[in-house]
Amino acid sequence: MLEALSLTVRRGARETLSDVTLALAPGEILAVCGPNGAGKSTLLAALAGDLRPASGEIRIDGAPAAGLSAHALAVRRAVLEQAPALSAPFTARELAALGLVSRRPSPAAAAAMVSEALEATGLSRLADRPATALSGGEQARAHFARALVQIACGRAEDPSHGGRYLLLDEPTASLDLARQAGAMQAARRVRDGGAGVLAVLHDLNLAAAFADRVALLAAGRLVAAGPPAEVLTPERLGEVYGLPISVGKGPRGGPAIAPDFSAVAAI
Amino acid sequence: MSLAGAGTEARPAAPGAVARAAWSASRPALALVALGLAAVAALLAELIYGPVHIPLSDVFAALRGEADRATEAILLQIRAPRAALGVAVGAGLALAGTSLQGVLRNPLADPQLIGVSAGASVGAVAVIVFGGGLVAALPAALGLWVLPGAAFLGASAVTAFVFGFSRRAGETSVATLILAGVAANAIAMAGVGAMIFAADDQQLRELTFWTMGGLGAAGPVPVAVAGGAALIAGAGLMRMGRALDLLQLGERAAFHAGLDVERTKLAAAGWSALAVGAVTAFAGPIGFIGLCAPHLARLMVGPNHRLVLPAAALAGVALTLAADLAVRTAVPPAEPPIGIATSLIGGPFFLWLLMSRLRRLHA
Repeated sequence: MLEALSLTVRRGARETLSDVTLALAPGEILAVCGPNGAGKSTLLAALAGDLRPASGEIRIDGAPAAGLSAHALAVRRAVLEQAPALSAPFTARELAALGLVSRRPSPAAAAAMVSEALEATGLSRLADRPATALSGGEQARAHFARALVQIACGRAEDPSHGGRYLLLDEPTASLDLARQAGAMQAARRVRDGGAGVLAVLHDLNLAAAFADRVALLAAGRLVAAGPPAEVLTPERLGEVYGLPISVGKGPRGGPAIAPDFSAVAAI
Repeated sequence: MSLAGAGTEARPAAPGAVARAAWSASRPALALVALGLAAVAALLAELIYGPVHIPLSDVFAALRGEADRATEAILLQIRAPRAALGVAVGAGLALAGTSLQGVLRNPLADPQLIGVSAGASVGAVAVIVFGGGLVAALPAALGLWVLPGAAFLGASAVTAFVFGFSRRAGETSVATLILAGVAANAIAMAGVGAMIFAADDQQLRELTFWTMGGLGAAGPVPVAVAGGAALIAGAGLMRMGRALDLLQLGERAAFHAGLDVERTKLAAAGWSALAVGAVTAFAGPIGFIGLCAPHLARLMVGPNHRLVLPAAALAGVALTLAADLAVRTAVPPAEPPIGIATSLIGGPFFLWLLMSRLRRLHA
């Protein structure tokens, strides 16, 4: 389990997370939702080990994350930022190989991990082009391949604790509908491989369709966490987002969320 | 015609594509060999050419101890130490430049631009102008280290200042660092100017080369000290290939991928200060090698730092020795400072770099 225990985070005087307790288990997709400024990205950063909480702690399989080195953390979890940067013209293959967090796999095994990740992200044919010359979507997939390599390599380094968690910060931002679904299908494949996937999502319908559990944050507090159908209720969503939201039935029987946008005044 | 062309391209494994893939895989190795040959050629040219021409056969004869006295004296006491100092300067500045550019994710970062060389100059000039008594009071073996030690301290102080100044909330702001470096450079050079003003005639002769640098001060001892320090720093920097690659993702993503970012920055800054301090103590502030050599290396071997580091070191050696040869043979027996040659090449190169970056930004 990757756990936040009574986590409080301060940025300057402001409390961006207040007393949040939440756990990500291997083999599930946990969507973190909530309005702007709710603390979603802060929660992800805290779970990744980026910041020092004011109180509470992060535990990763029982071990306090604060006591783990950057390397030990990277073996256990991979993180994909919202807009990953790259300031050198690495090829997609070299970029994916940056996920080789351990030197334990033989060069052949490492090359196989990289090829497999490029295959899984549909980049095999573009593998030897400079990533800086790829389209935005292809670049995002190359970074996803890097995270997949990190998970695979983490498992090879430490079969009992390695490669168990993947944290995604808005993996579907600025993608069209089909590509949003494609990104979430990729997350599903990581889950089916046994890892726990946490994804910060703005789109509640995407969360309802793909998440095993949804955590709803508002103003730095955890409002609710559980199966999508239980968390995403009209009353709760209306209160959190500040506009009337109706919840119907989606194409596969899950909740379909429809906000009443006309009820909001201009900003 | 166009249809046939499209057909050839669509075929999955055309022989041309296989050949191209093989070429692109072996290209970095070939580029490294080419840079190695260029460095060796520059080294031999540095030994052969000068006011007295020494043919290659005599160079080898002198190395075997079979040459006549005059030739042997010129080679072993003048040209070989000079060439060796050039190797240390070229490799040291190039590796420091590569690591600073890698850590800062900015190809415009250069030990001279951000004031590290100027800091080293302040340390060295202070010892020359004010430290005569101290050096004389120490045993000879210790006194030897005062000048390079002061240069290293000066380089470290500027490095610590610019890195510390530009650090906010755990991340280093590259733009702030470069601007702080420009300011530190100006302040340090003003300090050098003030000390030169306070110097007497005898000291001034020693100081002229602190404005432009030169390899002429090379005796066996300075070469051993500069070379040793540059070798240690170079060995430290050479091992940072993967760390520098990871930093191209940004500091936070590099941490996510398992890099101890703070330790990496500290190591890059510390080894760079040592390399720059050591070579500046004996060769003065030589500009633009730390800028041009890494860039040349990246053009030839691609962005992978495990290849860029050795390639940059070789390119730095070749550039430094070529520049030294140029100033030595331009108006013999006079010897203009080497900084004139490196700045004449490096200045326009820097402008070209700026322009190509601007063009890419607007594209």
